[in-house]
Amino acid sequence: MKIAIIKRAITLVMTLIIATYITVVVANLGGLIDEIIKGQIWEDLVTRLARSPEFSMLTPEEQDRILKQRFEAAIKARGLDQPFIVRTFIYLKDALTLNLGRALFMTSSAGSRSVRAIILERLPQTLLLFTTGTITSCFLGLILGLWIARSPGTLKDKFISMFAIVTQTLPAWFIGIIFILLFAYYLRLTPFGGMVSVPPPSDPFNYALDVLRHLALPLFTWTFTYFGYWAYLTRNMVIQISEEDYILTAKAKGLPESLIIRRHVLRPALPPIITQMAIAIIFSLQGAIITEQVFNWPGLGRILLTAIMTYDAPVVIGVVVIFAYLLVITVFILDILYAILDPRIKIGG
Amino acid sequence: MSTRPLTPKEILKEILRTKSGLIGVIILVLMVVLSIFAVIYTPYDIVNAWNDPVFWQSNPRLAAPEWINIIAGINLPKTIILGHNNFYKSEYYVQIAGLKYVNLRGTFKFQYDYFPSELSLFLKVNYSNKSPLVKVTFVRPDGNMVTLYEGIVESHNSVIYISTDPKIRKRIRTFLEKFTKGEEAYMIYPEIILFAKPDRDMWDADKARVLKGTYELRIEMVGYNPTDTLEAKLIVYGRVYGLVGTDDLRRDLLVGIAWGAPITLAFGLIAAVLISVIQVLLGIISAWFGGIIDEAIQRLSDILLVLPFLPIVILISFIYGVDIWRLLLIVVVLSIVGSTTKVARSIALQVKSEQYVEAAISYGASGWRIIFLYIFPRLLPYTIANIVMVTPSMIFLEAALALIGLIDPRNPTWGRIIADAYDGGAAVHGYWWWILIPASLIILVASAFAMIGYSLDKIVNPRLRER
Amino acid sequence: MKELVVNSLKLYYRTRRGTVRAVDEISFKLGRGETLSIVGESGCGKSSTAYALMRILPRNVKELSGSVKLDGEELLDMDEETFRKKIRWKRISMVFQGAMNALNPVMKIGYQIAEPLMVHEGMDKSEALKAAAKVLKDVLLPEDVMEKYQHQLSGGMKQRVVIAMAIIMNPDIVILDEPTSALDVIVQANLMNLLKKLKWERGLSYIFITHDLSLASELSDRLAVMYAGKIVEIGTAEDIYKDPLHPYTNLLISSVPTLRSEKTLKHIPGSPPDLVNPPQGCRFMPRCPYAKKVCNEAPTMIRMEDGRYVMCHLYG
Repeated sequence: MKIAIIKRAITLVMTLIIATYITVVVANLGGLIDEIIKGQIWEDLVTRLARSPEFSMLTPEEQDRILKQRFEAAIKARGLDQPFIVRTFIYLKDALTLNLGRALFMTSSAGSRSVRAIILERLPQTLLLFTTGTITSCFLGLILGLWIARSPGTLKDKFISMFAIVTQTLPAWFIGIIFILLFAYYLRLTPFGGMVSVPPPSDPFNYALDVLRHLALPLFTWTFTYFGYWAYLTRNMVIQISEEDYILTAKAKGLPESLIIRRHVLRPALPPIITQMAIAIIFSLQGAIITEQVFNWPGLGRILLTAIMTYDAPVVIGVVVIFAYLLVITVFILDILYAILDPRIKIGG
Repeated sequence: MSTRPLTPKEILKEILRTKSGLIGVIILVLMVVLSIFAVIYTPYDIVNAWNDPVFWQSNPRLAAPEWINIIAGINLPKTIILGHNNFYKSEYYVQIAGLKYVNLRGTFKFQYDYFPSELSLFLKVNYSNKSPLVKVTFVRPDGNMVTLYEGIVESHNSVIYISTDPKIRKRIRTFLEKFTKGEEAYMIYPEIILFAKPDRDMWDADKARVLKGTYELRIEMVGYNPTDTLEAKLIVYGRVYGLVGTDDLRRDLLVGIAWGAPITLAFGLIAAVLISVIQVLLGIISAWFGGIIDEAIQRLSDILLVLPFLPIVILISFIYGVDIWRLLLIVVVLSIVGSTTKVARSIALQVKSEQYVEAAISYGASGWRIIFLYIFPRLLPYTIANIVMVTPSMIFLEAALALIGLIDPRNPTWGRIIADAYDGGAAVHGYWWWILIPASLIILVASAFAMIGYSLDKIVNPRLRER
Repeated sequence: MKELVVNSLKLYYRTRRGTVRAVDEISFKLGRGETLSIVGESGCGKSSTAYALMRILPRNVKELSGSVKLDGEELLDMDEETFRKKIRWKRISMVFQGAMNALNPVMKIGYQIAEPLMVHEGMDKSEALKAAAKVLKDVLLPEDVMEKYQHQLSGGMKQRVVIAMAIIMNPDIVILDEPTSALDVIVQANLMNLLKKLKWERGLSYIFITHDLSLASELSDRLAVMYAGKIVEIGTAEDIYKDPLHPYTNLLISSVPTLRSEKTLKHIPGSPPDLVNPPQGCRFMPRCPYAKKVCNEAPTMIRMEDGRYVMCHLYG
């Protein structure tokens, strides 16, 4: 078993490396960003020197020479003198060791250029909304799924199943737009968006309350959109397992119904559900991108969007790498967990 | 346990047998009919017309659907257009003075309870060298008159934006002051004041009441040539329009939806079919050839799994500026392997070990023949189920990118309409028709696919069948 | 226990095509230490009889009626809770068809065997496990099986485990539903011997359900032949085997290949009737070589002098 773990770990690490490298290359637009930065440096240089009175007094040849000199120096200082390919590997190493460097253009609200700071500043907001939402919808769905699995084919089963099937195709941001119209505009129950009111309350208690008020609609939207999926998943798993012969045996053994469900049905059902939940939490970060836009929620998704649109490669790489890391680690842990929980599984399959 | 692979016709029959499948297929057929209808009955260049403001000029902006009047029991105005046929024209030339007089008079009844949204006057003036003088007078049912415009016409085709032109608003403010007796009026909305009962509140959008009755527009032109003449078109923009209303660019949303249907469906289906078929084929190839090819495909799918799909798509769309068909290409390329590949692979492995496949190998059938004749048909239900589930997510992907503003906004897809609605503030200003009607249609279509997928689920997963 | 008396037991299912009359008024008795085999083709209602006795019914049951008296106590009248606590597994237990899946794949064998003791008798875990280890010895399995999982065992071993599980509470009756159908002949023989041994040691009564007539005759004291939801003949194994009365029984016996003697095998033409719409008269008539006009009327159970019962117009 140990060998299998090591093999799996190696595979995952290789996957991580390759995926990160691809991201590095794409985020840097295959070298285009270099040109942009170089262009910017040249612009800055020219503007600055044009303002200096001593410079304008020099001959054109001398001006040229000094410009070129300063340009080379600036580029060297930024490390841009090395060819792009070489630098991709440096970026790769940096990204993998989570040395995320400095952003090209963006700053955190505290003013720092450090990519790590930028990300860490916004990450909690995203987690607050989307991780909470995913966990909530998972639990709600689980309970509901268990409930309807007891009586398949009844009206409530059909209704909830149909609801689940339809909402499975609809993304949260889409439902969000509709809900903003309904709940914020028509019913005036919630604010239109954002995380806090402007200006935000000064004392922590009212601040927290304000955040909660703003959290309500996006959280509700997310839960509404996704709890059906969990309910349906649980329902199907439970029904499938309930029809296995060993459940019949358990019933024949005279075990009470609640015990059968707890011990004989849920135990085999839990590993896949937990796996799905972990993956859902990670992937909720992706779904956050558009949803944060619709609700104007200041989280990691918005940052990523801004970074992409301003060609801020280090930030893009940073966010994507963190995502990839989280995913790979989660998959790895889940694989091991699965093998422990289910004696039939061998790792690597 | 080997079962004979189902042919597409059989699969369709199975789908139609279930209630959900039946409803789903009916909805889709209706959508296809709508699409065909839209394509046939609008022979002009859809994309260009959609993006041409002049095409929609006589529609009101942000108008609700007309049936809201029936449902809410209210009386919102429809657009009233006085075309040049509706004006009574009298013209004569006075030789001695060398002046040509043209008089246009047009009347219309306004019986609604709510004010118009906008007023515009389109003038087509025929003159040579010297531009004539034009005077426009607005006559209300209560006899009060306002001179809206008095001056030279600048060009052959001019538009007088009665609602927004600052000079006109000044005149109307003067008119207003007769009734407010010097009290401060905050905002001058000509379309309200001109139609309001004459009292102190006639400027206030909330408090003013409509003066119902017959209104008249008088246009008097003095020109210098006998051939000088004048045509006019007055548009009193209403607040309701058509079946679905209009957006902020005056576009009839019904047209947008009808045109959007084929584009939206085509994009979703094509992307889904390509992705599903490619992924399933790669899964089969992976299972059949095994070895290095298998390893390679597996590793590739692992890498693609770890790369976050949406950010990469956004990144590429942003860099290269995509329209809907380029987006299709990008999405398909990024999705050539996925979880479907893994599932297809494990099913294919099972099929590969079955006896009729072993028999085929032993009589010398080539790999590709076996793959296409024996293995792929067994995976057909799964592939179709996959297509059905992926199509809605493709439709929403396009909509999401439209929302962030990355897609060429020229194509009227349903996703684009909703994105425009959100950007146009429909959610915060209550333009419910702009959001809810296209959204309902998308939900309907997505549900159709979901229901078909559900009934397919029962075929692909026989355990879920009810006994 | 003294005896189990089943009278006019009915079990009907509700399906899309209509009501399936799986068990259509059957009656039999089972005494202490006796083995009764219920024999018949697949789909004749034998397994349904077992489910009816254990009262493990699927969701689409339409009717379960009749009388099942265990030592005079009516089992069908009991409410679910009482039946579960007093009867199920304690007095009547079951060994299922296809032991392949009868065991929970994520639980250890020892735990599963011990579970009924923990739940019904309130035993604590270590005591129950000790009892489970003991009963494993009785079915001639090594003790290390306790710690294994079901996928690590062979078919024959799994079957022994399931038998161990069924007898751990020392029930009065054990119902065995095709316990050997998926096993090869040698394992089968071993299992039959084990069953005989256990019966002797513990004074069990068996209801042995099978389609294999020769197997049935080996283990049983009495045989009940079932066809299309009805019992058509019931008597001692010896009597029936030597001198089958009902045409169906006759054909069944002639269709069993024997190893040594010369026998022309006859096969029974046709297929069993649809249990949704069984024919009005004798259900075997369409396939019966002795069919007469009177067979259009439903036959009744006729008691013969040697104590056998037959349901056939040939005899009355």
